[in-house]
Amino acid sequence: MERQGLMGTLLRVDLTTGRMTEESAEPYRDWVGGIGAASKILYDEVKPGTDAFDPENRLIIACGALSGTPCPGTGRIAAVTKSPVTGGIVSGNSGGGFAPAMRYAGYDYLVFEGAAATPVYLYIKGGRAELRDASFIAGCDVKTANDRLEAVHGRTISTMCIGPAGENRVRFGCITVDRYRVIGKCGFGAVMGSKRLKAIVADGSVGQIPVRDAGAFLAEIDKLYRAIETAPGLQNFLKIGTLCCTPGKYRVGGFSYRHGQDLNISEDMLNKFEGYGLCDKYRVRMTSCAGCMMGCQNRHRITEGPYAGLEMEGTPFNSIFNFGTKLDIDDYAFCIEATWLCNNLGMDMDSVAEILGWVMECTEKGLMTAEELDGLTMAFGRQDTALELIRKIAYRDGAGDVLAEGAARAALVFRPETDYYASYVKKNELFELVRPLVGYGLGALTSTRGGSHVLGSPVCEAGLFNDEERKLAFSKFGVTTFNDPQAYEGKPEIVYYYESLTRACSSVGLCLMACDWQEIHLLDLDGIAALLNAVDGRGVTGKDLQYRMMALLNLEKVFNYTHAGFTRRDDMPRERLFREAVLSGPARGLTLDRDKWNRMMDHYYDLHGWDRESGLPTAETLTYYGLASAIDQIQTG
Amino acid sequence: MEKQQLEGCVHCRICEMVCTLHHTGAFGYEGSGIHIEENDNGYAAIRLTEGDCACDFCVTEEEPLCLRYCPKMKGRDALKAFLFG
Repeated sequence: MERQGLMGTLLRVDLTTGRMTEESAEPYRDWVGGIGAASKILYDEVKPGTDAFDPENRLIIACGALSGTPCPGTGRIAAVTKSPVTGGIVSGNSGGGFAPAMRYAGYDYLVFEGAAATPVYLYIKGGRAELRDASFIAGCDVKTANDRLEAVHGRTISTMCIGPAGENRVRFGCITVDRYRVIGKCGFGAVMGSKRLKAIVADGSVGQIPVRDAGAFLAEIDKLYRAIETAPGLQNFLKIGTLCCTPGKYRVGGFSYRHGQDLNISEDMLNKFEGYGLCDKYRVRMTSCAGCMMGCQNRHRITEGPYAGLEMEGTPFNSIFNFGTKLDIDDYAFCIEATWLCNNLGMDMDSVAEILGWVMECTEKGLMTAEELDGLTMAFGRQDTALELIRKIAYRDGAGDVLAEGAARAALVFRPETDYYASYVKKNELFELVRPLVGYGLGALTSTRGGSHVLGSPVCEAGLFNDEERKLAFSKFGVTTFNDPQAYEGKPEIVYYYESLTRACSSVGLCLMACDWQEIHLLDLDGIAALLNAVDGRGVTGKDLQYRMMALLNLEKVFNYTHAGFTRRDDMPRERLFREAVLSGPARGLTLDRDKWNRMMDHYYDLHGWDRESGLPTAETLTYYGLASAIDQIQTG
Repeated sequence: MEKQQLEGCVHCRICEMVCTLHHTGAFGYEGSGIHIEENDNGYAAIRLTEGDCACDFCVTEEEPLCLRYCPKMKGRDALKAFLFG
């Protein structure tokens, strides 16, 4: 099959009729690719008033121009849909091997619409696509589904699967990629489940993708290899992955302890979660996403205790935060087991952990009873009932059926007082702390997908900078507070910088770990442009990418307003963060300052050309970004 | 065909991608003279010695591309030993 132009082939799959058509993706060239092109497709094709579970919703799987190349940070596969959690536009991505497999198989975009009458899966290889009966894997957990798919298709396949949670439309049901990676947040798995699409299988063992100028491209790769090999702030990450984050988080008071009732942990707990020690005890090897040299994923094996026998890849630092400190369980084996359960049953672990923590805190405060929780005694530190509740949520069993709606919706069913203790934004469970890390929190709260720290949040606030790095950071942000986590000034500028850089990465198929979000010496927009120009000669500059990614952000804002009614109030922290001071540790005494926060928000909106009161793009801003057709839909001055 | 377990290999498959580039001018797994296979103990490299994609030690390059782009701190030493003994 001939590759279609620069943007490749879009396969449109109507699951209602079973009809599949191939189109050129060239009409979306301006939107770069990945989440850029996919978001424009969703914006054009899904109208306000369409429910996320309506067959008219689209699930779009998207590669980028660097997918399938050996560029550091490659291997990411992106997705865009209308979320059953937020009701707005959401993107997600995961690592693994799916992106190169899909692209070698001949497709850059998969657009699913409609809903099948019975479970199906899509199989693609060598430029051909088939919709096949999925009854032999319907209802299976992800491991079983993968085992059976490999028995049919061989071990050269790469897979996206949903588990029982997605099939049961748990709102935060996820897509699990290649057994161990996830498109975790925002309910992509639930949308797939609503379409009765159990899996997408790509065999990349045949097929290739062209490169315009191999010499120039490899020269760019060489530069990036040298930068990664010598970046001082990256070496621990290359050795043990995100488990290296523990000391930095501890230093700033960045752990949620007992569901955020404190943001400090004991030295004893800190030592239990020390990264190199965990690797000594549990790691069998490191693994990598396909095409990326960083090899940052740990494969763990548990050899003793109640979870002995489990072998699993990809348990990140976030699992320590989610299932360790947040639930007051100082056992990394439990963190691995709980992460595995979420991945295998197919649910976002951030949402699951936040719900568990919320339920534990409400129980502790007498606001929820064991009777309301099917007899389960939910208590901080208790592992067995936590795991049991995870299973109940996945299968919508009893109280699990209520909790499967997410904390914001579930709080309407429990006592009204429980809502105050739930941490969410735009109805999506909020993983990110705000009080000790103002910029990180600002990026998460304003993120169009409802929380998450990968669409604008900086992670440099908790870092250590030498003089050279300070100068470099200042040249990028234009402000000096990038290393002052509790400062409010300058944080809108830093979030603004990362809003375009993170979107650019997810529009070309790159992981954030390869860009200056992760380490200040790595890729910026100019570097991404150079890679793009070498791989396909499209002739863009860093400034072009910056413009297009801010256009994308504005498109997301319009979608979120017209579909979900999101305005400034949906970017705000919940009341608890203004009222309750951190109990102990480096952030002791901190609350959010309401005046400072609001003034910071005013400046954030000014910077973007958005109305201060509504938080929405002005007519002038929409026109500048080529979205003048949306002006009538947005009531701005 | 030659096969050897590669200590430190992380299954990035960059070696396959750049080998395919060497043979075909494009990126892929098909067209590579080296393949990485997962097993219970990690990953093994398979080097093809016959056929259209047989490994030629990248005679037209400064050094074998698979070795050049294998991550230094991961499998490169083991790959070098596999190729050159």
